[in-house]
Amino acid sequence: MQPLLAQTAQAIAASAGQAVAHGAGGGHGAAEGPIVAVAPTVEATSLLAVVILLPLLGAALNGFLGKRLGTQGVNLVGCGTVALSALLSWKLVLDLVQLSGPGHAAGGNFGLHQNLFPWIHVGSFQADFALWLDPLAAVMLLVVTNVGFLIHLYSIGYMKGDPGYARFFAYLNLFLFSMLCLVLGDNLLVLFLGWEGVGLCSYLLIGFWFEDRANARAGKKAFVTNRVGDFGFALGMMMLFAVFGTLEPQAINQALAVPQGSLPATVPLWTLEAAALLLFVGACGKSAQIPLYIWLPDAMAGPTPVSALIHAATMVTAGVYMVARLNGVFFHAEFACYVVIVVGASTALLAATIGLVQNDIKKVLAYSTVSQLGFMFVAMGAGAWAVGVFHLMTHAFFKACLFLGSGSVILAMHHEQDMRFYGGLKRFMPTTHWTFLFATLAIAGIFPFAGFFSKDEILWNAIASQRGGTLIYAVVLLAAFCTAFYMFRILWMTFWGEHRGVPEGHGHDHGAESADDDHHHHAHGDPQESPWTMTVPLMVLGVLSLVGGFLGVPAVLGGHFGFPNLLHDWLHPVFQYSTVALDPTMAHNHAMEYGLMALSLGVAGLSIFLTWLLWGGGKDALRDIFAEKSPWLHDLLWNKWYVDELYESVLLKPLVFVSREVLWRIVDEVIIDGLVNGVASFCKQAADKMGRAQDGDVGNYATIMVAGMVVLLLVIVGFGVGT
Amino acid sequence: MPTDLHFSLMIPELVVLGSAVLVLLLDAVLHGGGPRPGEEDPRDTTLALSVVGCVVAAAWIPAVLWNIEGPRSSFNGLFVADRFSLFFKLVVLVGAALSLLLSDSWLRRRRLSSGAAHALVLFATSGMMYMVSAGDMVTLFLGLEVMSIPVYCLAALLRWEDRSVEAGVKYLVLGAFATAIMLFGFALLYGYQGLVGGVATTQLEPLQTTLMANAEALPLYARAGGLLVLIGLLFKISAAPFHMWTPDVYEGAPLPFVAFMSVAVKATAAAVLLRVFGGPLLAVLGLDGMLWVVAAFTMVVGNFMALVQDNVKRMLAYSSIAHGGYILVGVLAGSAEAQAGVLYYALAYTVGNVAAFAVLVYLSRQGHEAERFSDLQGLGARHPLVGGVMVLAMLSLTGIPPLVGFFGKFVIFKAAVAQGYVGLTILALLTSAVSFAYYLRPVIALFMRPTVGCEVAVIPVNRRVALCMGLTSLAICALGVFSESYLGWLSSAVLALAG
Repeated sequence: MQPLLAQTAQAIAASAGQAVAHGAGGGHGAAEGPIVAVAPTVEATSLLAVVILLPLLGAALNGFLGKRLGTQGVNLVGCGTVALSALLSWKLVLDLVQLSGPGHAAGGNFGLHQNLFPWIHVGSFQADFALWLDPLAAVMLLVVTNVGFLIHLYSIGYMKGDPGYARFFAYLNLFLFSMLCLVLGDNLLVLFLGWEGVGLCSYLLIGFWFEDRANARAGKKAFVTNRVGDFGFALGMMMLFAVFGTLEPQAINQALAVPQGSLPATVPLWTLEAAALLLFVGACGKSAQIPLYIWLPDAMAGPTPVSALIHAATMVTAGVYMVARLNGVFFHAEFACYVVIVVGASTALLAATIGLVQNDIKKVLAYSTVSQLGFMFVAMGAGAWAVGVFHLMTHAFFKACLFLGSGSVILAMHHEQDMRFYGGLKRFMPTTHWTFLFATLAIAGIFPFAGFFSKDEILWNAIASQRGGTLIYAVVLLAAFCTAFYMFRILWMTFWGEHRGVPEGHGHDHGAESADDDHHHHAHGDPQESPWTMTVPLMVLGVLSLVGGFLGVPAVLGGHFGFPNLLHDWLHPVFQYSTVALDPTMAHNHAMEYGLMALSLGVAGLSIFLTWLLWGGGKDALRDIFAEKSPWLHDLLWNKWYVDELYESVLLKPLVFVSREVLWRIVDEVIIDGLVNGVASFCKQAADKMGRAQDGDVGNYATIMVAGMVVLLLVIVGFGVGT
Repeated sequence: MPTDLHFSLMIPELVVLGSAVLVLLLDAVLHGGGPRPGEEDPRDTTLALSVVGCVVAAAWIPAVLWNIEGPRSSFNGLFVADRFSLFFKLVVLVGAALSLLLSDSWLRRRRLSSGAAHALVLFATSGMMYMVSAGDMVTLFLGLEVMSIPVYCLAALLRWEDRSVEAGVKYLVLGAFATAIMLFGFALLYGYQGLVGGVATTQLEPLQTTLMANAEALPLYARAGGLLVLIGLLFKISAAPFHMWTPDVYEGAPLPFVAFMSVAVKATAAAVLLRVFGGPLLAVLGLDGMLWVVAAFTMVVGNFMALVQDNVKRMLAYSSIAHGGYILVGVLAGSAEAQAGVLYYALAYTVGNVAAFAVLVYLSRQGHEAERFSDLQGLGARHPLVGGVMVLAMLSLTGIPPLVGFFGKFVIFKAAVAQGYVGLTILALLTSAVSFAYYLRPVIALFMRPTVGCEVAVIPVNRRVALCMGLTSLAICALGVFSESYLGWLSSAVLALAG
């Protein structure tokens, strides 16, 4: 995989050079003078459908014939289809790189397009089932198929011996199909189909071990919470259709490719603001932002590969992707962007603080995901679309690696998820440890790991963008501090120090996956390193966590050495008409940028040092001081800021009360039931009356026919008289 | 006198007829005139021959005839093979082939000879094919009889069972009655054509031209003639008040052949309705208001009566009446879009209904027809896939997107509104809502009621029935999802009708 990546990187670099030569200069170039929107260059392809249909085929085969295929067959179908899909996606992206050469001279966006079939044509509403691969979709496509394949491979080891093995792979393949619809959909309806599809698969996989009620409940919580978001998303879609008469993001962005403040008269600003806010509600649901983030930590009830694929690397980033896809709308909707950046920053900090004190390894990672998604939305709110997508990509690498690493640990510890029983696992599981360390360094933002580049750009944009500010920057920096802290806390508690082990007689009752325990033999003893199907994905992702960041080296670092910001240039055609300018005082202040970079590195270092003090220095007592001195703070964090309780008393209870006392007792039982039963009994009585004629006597039937005929003839005669 | 003898246009009909004759001969040779009790008969040959006959005939249509160059009518206009008729032939052949697949296991379980039954299905099919191709009242009438008589026999196939014989006799008596009415109508129209049109001919096209040309001053007897022909067709499509035979016949007739007659006869009747009365002719004859009333009455009676049935077959009988009503809405609207909708609906109804009957056939055993709702109880838990087929069929018949049944209704209703039939469309929508109640009853029985009796649990799914279920389910989903492409294809078929 590595040489392929490098090859693409070169190709991208080549095309990027051209882009810079012909485009508006790349970088953070502000809109100068009137923009003349160049229409996208479109080339037809017939392979996009194959990419999305392969996983669907796998899902169908495993779903319907899984039991007959046997384990090897399920593996072959489940992983094989995804592997082919991944290979094909590389080919398509290389085609796209080719396209960026000569055709790109026009300077507009470019992409591969395939129209599968006309889907819904009703009046002025035209929606084809069409797929579109442009540079933005290409980034997502590669992440989804390749990380998806690694996680499929990993699942072979992780799910070994599970009675629902084939079902698991069927769901996983179905998820990939839906996710690819979401990524490649050429109109919002296809995107929405994928959006709902991934939601369904998420529900099915969270509750995969549904015999345990807690798991089933977690699935339900995810589904219902997402429904709130989907409602907003659907309304936003309708709003966009009402304004633009189309649901194609390309067309919408094209129509909005004007400088800010000079919208055409047909597009009132408030409609864009409203649409953007509604869409963001959808993004909040899918991407777990305040106030809808509460489902994601519970979603950890699903098997760990699911947490890695769906609840870390791909599905939860759909909201970010959707905002990037509709960058034109968010570019003009400045107020909506303020909401986005505030929500993003708050979520980043809130979730990171909760992560500080959790003991369940997957819970920490879940809150970490929520927090990192907040980072991405800060970038989106700041108008730094490419930066958000960059962080989305690096996050997919290191967070998938972290989750898979935690899965490896959980398997070795016989589904014990409490870190207090871990410790010293480095000795037993070196591969898991090293890859986990790489990914931790990446998420903590240590140079030169992937997270350093992407997070630092977010921090820079948080303060330098016209839509950012010092306060936002401070909040995000604090969140970054917490990130490094809770991640190194995991390392200390899990891999370093002494191995504590699960005490004798300790039940597995608090492990969310306890339902599965019956199926695993408990060969208690030293934890074992996982099989190669699990460690190979870990190693690949670990390496990606190290080098992934070089795709987006910021100008201040790479510029001196002639090293381009590959990802930024690659994405430039997509975002060129929605560039949000930086604050003029900041735009060319390199000293400032270096200073802030050093500051964030220092903050991360300080954080790591603190964890060493608390866990590494043998000063266990220090840890208790925090809990003793400020018990309220500890309780606040431990209880997740009491948000669940707040929702329960502010939203749930009144809602249940109104539903039961008003909607059910009065509206439903009296009014609706009365109407329904009334109509039903009317229909029944009418039918009984009519049924009397149906007495089985042929003579009567013939008489009725003749009577009918005579009446109709009389009517005609009557008409005849009339005329 | 005939100068244009294009037998090649008739190849599908000839194939079906040929296989019918062969099946009869083979049956006589192989079985010596009847099944021997307690001995397994080699029925595979006749089944294979009949199904292959249908499939070859059906394949011939898109492969050759659809895009044929040159004349599309033959025998001086007696026989028309335009795309419109070709489409309906496809529908009829699909219905016939699927019913044949269904009938096999059903007949086996009762140790019945299959050859005669298969031959009857094939003969009826050829009659339907001639009917939809009829460019002349004589062809139409001949086709009608070739279709009807085998269907009466199929209804009475279980000649030692009272219910079956009753069904056959009722169908025969009332059918003959309707045929007589229709024939009288033909006679009146023929007389009109001879008197006013100048040339005494039974062909439809000159007749239609004459009627249109004299739209202002049509004598009463011409309009009455039109009305009587219409009544004959309404009987076949089982529109109220000419529907009384339907529930009794469906209840008594053998299951797989009920599937056949419900879908194929209805499709044929719809085709002839469009062929004879399509376009503005209905209004010229002053029959549009009358058809409005009949359509409304049919939808109300069909849907309301279906509500109170305890027998699934009777419920499906009334539901088929209701669907006839929706088709009439399309016929009444008359625009090209509405006609395409009728075509769409014919196939939508065919696959949905056959899927439902396939599940019932699967559930039937020796001496026990699965026809009460209680027979379905608990099936969903034991055979989720079979239960799923039933759910798909019911949801499609109700008209839930994205299944094919939804788009069928949608296209027809849209066209009806465009033609100004708003009131009728509202009525259609309301009665559709009523249909929810009875279509969901099988679903409730399948998935939400405990199992009664455990012997049902051991039925293995017959391969041919499974094939039938698979094909229809696939069609229900695929035709719905790809409805746009499919409708585009249908428009070309309707174009033939106008031109």
